[in-house]
Amino acid sequence: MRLLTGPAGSGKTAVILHHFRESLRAGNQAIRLLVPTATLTTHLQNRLAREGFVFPGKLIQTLSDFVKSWVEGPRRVTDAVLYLIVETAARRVARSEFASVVHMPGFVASLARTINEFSSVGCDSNRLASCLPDTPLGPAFLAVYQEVDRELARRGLALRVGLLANAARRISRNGLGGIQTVWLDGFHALSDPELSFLATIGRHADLTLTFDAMDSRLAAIGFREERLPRARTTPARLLVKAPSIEREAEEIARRILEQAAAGRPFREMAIIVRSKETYVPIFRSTLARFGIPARFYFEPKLHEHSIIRFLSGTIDALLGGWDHSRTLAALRLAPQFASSEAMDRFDFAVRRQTPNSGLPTLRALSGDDSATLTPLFESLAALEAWLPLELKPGEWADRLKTLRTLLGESPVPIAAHEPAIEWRSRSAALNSFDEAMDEAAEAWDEHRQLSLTEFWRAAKSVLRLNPLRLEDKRRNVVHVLSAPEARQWVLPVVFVCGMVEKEFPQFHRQNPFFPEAARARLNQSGVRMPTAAEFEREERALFESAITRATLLVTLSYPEFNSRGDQNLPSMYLEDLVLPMQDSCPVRPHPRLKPGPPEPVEIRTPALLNVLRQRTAVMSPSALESFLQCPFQHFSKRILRLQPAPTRPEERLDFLTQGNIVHAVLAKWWLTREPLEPLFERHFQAALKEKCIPPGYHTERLRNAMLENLLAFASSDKWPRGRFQSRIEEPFTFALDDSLVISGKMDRLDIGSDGSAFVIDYKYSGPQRTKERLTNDNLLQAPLYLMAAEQKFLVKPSGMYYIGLKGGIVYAGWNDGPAAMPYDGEPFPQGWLENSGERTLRVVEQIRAGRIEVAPANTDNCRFCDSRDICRVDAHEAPEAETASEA
Amino acid sequence: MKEVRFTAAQLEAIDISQRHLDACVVAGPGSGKTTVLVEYFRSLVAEGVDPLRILAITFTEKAAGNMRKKLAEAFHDDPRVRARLERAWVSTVHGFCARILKENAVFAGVDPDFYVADERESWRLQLDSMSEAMEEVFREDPVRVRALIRALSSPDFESDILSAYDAMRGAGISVAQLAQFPAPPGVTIAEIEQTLAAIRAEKLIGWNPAQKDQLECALEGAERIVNANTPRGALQAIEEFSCNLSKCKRGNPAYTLLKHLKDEQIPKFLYAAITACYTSERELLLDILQRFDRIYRHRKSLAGALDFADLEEFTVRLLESHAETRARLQAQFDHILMDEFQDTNGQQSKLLRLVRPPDRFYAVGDINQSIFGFRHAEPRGFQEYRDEVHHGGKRLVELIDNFRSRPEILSAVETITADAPGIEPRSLVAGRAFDQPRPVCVELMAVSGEESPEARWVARRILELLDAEPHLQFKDIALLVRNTEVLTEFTSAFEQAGIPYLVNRGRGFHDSREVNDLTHLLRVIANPRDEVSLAVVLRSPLVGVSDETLLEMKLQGGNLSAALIPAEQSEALSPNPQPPTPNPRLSPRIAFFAARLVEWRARRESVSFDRLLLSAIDDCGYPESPNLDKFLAQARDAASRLSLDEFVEELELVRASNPREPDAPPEDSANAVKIMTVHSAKGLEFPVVFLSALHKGIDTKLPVVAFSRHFGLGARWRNPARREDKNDLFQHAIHEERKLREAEESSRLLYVAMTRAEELLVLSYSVSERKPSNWAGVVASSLQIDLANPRDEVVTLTAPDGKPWKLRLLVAGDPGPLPVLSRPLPNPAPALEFVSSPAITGQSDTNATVTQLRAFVNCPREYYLRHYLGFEGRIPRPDSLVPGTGREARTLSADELGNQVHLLLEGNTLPDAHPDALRMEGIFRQSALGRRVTRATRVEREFEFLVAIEELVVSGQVDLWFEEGGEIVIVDYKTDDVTAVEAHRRAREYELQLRIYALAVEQVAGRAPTSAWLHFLRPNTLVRVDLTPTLLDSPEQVVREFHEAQSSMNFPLNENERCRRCPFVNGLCPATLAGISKAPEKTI
Ligand code: SF4
Repeated sequence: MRLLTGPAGSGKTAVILHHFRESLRAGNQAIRLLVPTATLTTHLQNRLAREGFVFPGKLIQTLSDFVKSWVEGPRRVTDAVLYLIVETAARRVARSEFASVVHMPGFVASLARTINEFSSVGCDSNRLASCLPDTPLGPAFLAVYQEVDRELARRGLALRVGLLANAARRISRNGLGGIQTVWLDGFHALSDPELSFLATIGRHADLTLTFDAMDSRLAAIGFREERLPRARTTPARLLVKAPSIEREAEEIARRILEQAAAGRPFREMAIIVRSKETYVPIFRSTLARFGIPARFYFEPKLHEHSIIRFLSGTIDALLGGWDHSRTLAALRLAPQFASSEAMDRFDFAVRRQTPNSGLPTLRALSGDDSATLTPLFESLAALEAWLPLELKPGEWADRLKTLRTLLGESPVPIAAHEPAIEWRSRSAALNSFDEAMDEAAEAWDEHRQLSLTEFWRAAKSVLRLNPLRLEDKRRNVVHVLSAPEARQWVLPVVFVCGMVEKEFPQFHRQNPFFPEAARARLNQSGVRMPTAAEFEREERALFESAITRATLLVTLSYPEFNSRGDQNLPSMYLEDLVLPMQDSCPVRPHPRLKPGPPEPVEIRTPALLNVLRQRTAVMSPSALESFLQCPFQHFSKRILRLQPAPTRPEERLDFLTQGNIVHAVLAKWWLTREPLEPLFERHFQAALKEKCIPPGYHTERLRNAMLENLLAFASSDKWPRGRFQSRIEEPFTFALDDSLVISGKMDRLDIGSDGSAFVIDYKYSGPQRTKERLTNDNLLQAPLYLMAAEQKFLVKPSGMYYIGLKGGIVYAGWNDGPAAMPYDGEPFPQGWLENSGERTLRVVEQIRAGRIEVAPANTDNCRFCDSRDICRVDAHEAPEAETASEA
Repeated sequence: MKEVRFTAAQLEAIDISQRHLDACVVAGPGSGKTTVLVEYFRSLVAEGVDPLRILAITFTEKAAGNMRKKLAEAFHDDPRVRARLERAWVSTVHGFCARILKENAVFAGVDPDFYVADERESWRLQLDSMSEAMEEVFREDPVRVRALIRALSSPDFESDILSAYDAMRGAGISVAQLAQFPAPPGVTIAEIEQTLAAIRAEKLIGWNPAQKDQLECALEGAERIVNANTPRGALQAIEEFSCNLSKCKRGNPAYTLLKHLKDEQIPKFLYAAITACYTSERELLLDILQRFDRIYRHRKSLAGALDFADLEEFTVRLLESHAETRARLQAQFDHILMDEFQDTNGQQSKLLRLVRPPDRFYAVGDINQSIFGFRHAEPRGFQEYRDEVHHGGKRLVELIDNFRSRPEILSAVETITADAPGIEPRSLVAGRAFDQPRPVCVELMAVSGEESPEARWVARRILELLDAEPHLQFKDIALLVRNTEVLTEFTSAFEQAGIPYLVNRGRGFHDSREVNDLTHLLRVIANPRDEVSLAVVLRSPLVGVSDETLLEMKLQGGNLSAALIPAEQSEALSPNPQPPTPNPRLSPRIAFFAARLVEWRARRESVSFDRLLLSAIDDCGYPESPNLDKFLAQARDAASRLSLDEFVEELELVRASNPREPDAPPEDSANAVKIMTVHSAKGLEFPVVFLSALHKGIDTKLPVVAFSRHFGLGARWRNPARREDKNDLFQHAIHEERKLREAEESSRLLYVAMTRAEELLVLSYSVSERKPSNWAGVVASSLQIDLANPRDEVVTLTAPDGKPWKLRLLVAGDPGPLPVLSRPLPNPAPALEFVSSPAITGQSDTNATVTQLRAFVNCPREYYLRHYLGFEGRIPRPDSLVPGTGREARTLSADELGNQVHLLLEGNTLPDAHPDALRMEGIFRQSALGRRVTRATRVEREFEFLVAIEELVVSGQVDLWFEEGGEIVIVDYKTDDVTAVEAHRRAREYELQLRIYALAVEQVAGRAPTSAWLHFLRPNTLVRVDLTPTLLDSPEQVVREFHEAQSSMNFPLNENERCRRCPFVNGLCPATLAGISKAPEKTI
């Protein structure tokens, strides 16, 4: 057994390939080249095939596949199934130490990880029992491990180490079936079970292993070392500092584009990422943004895929009685409806009436779009037949695999490369879903009868644990690699990003079951559990490897600040290197659109001006006031009349609705004086029904406030009703001139026996806001109402009062009448009505002339304006004291 | 580390020979405490202490980072220590707790894979849990809830409870403990009775009858209070109680007693009466908190999340309940270093007590700089520790030298804060040497007038300073304010004056324009029927539509979105085979947007949301900003958790519930004036500091429900006798406590603010009619200078220690036109580079199988769907499976049958082989070819190969080839269900496959195969394949076309009879059977 050692770049692979080629040329196919990963397998196979060799692909294989080909009997347990088995075992064993955490997914996952760790160093539960270190959770862990081992054996499943042992036994018994030469390349660490497997191979074939260095374990099983000197030249290196990770990713993109422009194919460049959570998403976005084709050697999580979310969401909705919000949330993920207008309409229809549940009521909401949505609803309805069933796990798996029909079958477009990958991921997700269902079935006893709920719980765990495996075989792409994956690669240009503290080297945390000390003792007993020191060595090796992957140029980089704006500490690995340093340059893609010419902020087109004229032939005082507050507000609210998305249930009892209820109650009560509470209750309940307002604490709070305010008004009002005849909710219109009609509705018109009258307007607002109406120059309601009283109702207007009803009753108004009133009023301003009439006409003239600019008279009111997001006014700062919020 | 010269006090502080004693270092502002702390750590390590045996806790992440950085530098040359520093325990309290919990998750009862929910996420979870709790209790007992609502109705009720909850947790008090707080003492009935009795006992000498009547009336009123049967009655009696003291005889004991009764006892008794009146509501309040707590904890546990308070609470609980872990942890650290000790809260102090063994603690702090009371810091803890150290004869060191500010600034600080509450008198000794003298280092501007003259004065002074002192740059200047409400005044004055500025930690993230635009864009992508959102987007620079156009679009009728994408188009279901053609009446710019919208909508769930946004941003060159980056990061992150609709909803909820999200931190490098609150300036220093809007205080009103660790939970209730709210005893006590704390903290905040300045401190405020209040009041009264008349002069003042210092005093109105800076702005931002997308070539695959190539040749579209994209063909429908039909009942599929035949012919024995499979095996074995095999000299079955054709590596498997009689023969078995006639036609589909086999076999065998055969086993038909293809259908040509199709993504349909067998017809493929003529199949 030969051990070929040498530093990175010393050409170990080249030596192996040389021998491999020689054998092929000699027609000798009794050879195997074993490597750690599938990517490397394909890479080497392709390389030799392109050199003109024709050979069976299996001559180059991963060690795992090789082992598998010798295994007789047990199947390898997948991670997800192991998780489910561990979960059941932990519950069954019911150790008190684990009582408070046994239901937590992270706990089960970390148990499963630790079991895997033991298993991969060749320590099954029996062996652990014999050398269990004294550590508080040791016995409880062991109990679960033993249960897991028993369960695996019962089901004919094995962990990887079990397969190694099984294969080794078979090889010892029957030999290697004629294989004479075996090379292993690309390995950086081998566990004890792997080594003993190699020893077995070594007894039946000529074995060569490439490795970083000789060690005692290798020597012990009989490897002889042959050392190679370092051959490859060191590439140029430099360090780039960017202000943030966004700029760092953009800088790398910029440099890739520079290289590409200079003629370097994308496939000759790679980005090595150590911290995938931070960097993979941002590189996906950034490289796509700059149009750089890239292949990511990272598997996304299966359950995050929208298709899986759609299918899972549907089953969850089914099990949850078709809660409308949840069902809608799932249906909106159905890709065939991603841009369907029917679905958009249905979406809003559903949202207008949530909370609700049940499929028939939901279906009824599809209205005019039922033709489009019917097939979907029929499929959903068909699922209901599953609810009462009790089936075997395999049967559930088969059944759930039919869910893909929910996606419909409309033609798939021919897409560009990027979108094609999205389509590919869709089909991959569907296939992975099916596999996941089979895996979930595997975790149960195959004859057990289960309900959908039971099976689905396991299925969801599998979906959560499994990755989405997606093939991307494009040749000319930038490779985005993890640091371990990158170990197998050599390319001209390499970027190593994220060189900051705790990212590279990554921070190592102790295992909760077997901390450092326990590991040290295990090592003393011969169980080679990795320790912190090993972890550190491994990180260092990953870094050394990352910066030696390039033949021409390695660019290391780091962001100077994190997302909170705190300075990052550059990685300690950078301290040992003397690197030329460069700053990143801000970069972005050329805009695809040229900026348009500045647009006029008024309406000029004659046809549109005509529309304005038509729309302003009849105007209400509130529309006029809206214009006076802000021309744009008027434009957006009254002319464009934009419809927003439906409000959330808890927002439906908004100010407007509350005001309407209060107005309606008062209108009735003022005339009939019937008991206020039941009257209010009737109106309130009607409003809840009409607006689909759910009952609950919030509704109750507002109900209470409204009722209190009404009662306060009823009990404290000193208005001399007896002196007047009241007309309630009186609509009116009157012509101010030939072209303008004013229309409105008076809450109350109180006419005295002498023909003098008061206009009363209820405001469901606080005392302050009500009083402010007296001094606000931009209001026209009062004079216009008074004019209406005069012109339409032919009475002599003596005054007008606003009654503020919220949080304390307030009368604010004008009183020009001779009679003493219990409430003070301001005298009518000089020439009020005439001036207001003229002003109204001027205002309307402005509207008709197309004035729509954003010019709020009072920016405080912008807070209540529905157009505040549209108008882009800078009146949003409603700051607050710092102590309450400062962090 | 560069050589630092330490003062004697500093040397004492870093003296490690006393390391076995608890130490307290009182470090004034600018006294170099970080340096001392780092040096102490460094010396310990240099002395041989393992860095992993030191625990250093800082207040902020930034400070921890800074410390780690300095330590890394210090041990740069010692790789062993340097490597250990990576794992050293230098972090914030939260960082420390998170690490402890991860490593002891099982004992701590937390999910080992927990993540820490950020403020935003926990706030959302809290709101949801709160409303669930409220709904739950309302369902169970609506009557009680109604009573509570009547008693305590505030729109902020829930958020107030949540902040009380937050305070509780900071103090380390559990919800269960809340009920145990006794009511703070108030005035009792007995006390009032006593007073009444005492008054009654008085001889009313000199009281006239009217006065006596007045007294009697008051006494009767008080007796009604005393005799009330219920708290409600008492409240009513209090309301009715009246006593006009001015109508009573003064200057006698009865008067004094009456006054005490009226002014002290009865008002205070009100708190007690309110408390008694609302006992049951208070219980409900506690019940609600308990439910909320339970629900919130449950939700976090489901999500595997811990919030910041959990980190502390769970660590404390772990250490309290688990003696072994506690002992282990205590043994783990030889030294515990703590920075900013005055800012720790109750829970953190508890934690520290659990972690620190005796005489291992080294705390640094300064009471005068304790400004985080609102975050529940308890500076008293530091005081107590300091006293303990002092009295216990341990190590107490005071660092009073200030290495930051000019002496005059320190004198000004001392003068202004001399008698301020909350400030411990401690002198500030100037220790920094300045190269140049500076005539005046402190200025005060008291400005009156309309339209923010103060802000314009500040702008003017900045420009004057920069003009007069060329070494100064904008970035040397900071503007500090206490209340962010005034910020806009300053930013607009700066904008007018052309002064670049950066606002640090504004809270307008959600209201910023970029976030507004992009949020609405996401809403439009989610559902364009939301016309408001669509209008926002259309008017924004993302599209740039004029209002006229908007109106035109709206006038087209129906929903605004219909003007973009005519209904029939958007209805074409996605995947939409035709590129969408937007409404032809649209301008090119809008049409472009409409087309993009269709595209984004189709991809809304398949790419992360930031990518959708980025493509919109890059379409129009939307300006970059830190908030934009922050929003994109949120969008990127959300895509892995949420669907677009869910994200849109989350944004809406966040915006509605917690709009005060901080702005992204500005990029620091710019040469700009920094604007920030005093709290965020803590720990920073600037050459020039403007401390402005001194007149502006903050809102200190207590919420309706509040918590204090001394009194528990208090509330303000509706006084049933009056439409007015009143504190209960708890709330009253909290109110008093809070008042005191605010006063003290206000002084300290002022102290911290002023001590940020190195060279120049400019104080400014706006003068109004009223007496100066807030800090302006403190400054004006402590300096005792005449601010009545306009002036601009330098006055000399005296500090408490007798040192004179100069103040430039400016009392002025409008600053007039602003000066123009005569020198250019240094270091402009680096220029933005625009790049174009690269030309993309070579996007074809590296590998293919023979089957794939064959599929491609027969129909490129089928290849695309099945192999390139990976779709399966047939899908059983959910209703096609009836219960009881398990997998056992399924029949053998064609593929499975084919497999069996191949296995049998390979020589395997299959016990369960299908009779059809066995029959077909027999057919081949008895055929002429089958018999030749038995005579062959070389036989290869299931021969696997890889062969490169035009750089494409093709893999395949030859069923059989053999050498016999000098000939090389290739055989491929087919189990297709065809007739003999059809077999000949079908054979054409397999020609390419056999030609590639021939290529491979030739390479291996060293010579070309003689013949190649397809054996259709079902009809037992043998078809010979011509191995000499024309140039057009040679494998090389096919591979070239294959490359080309993949590179250009061109996969046309090949509609013909074969479609009838294709699983994609009428489905994923646009071809329909209706369109297929009876024309014979052709092979391309
Ligand atoms: S928010 Fe203010 S500026 Fe904008 S439209 Fe409304 S009123 Fe006008």
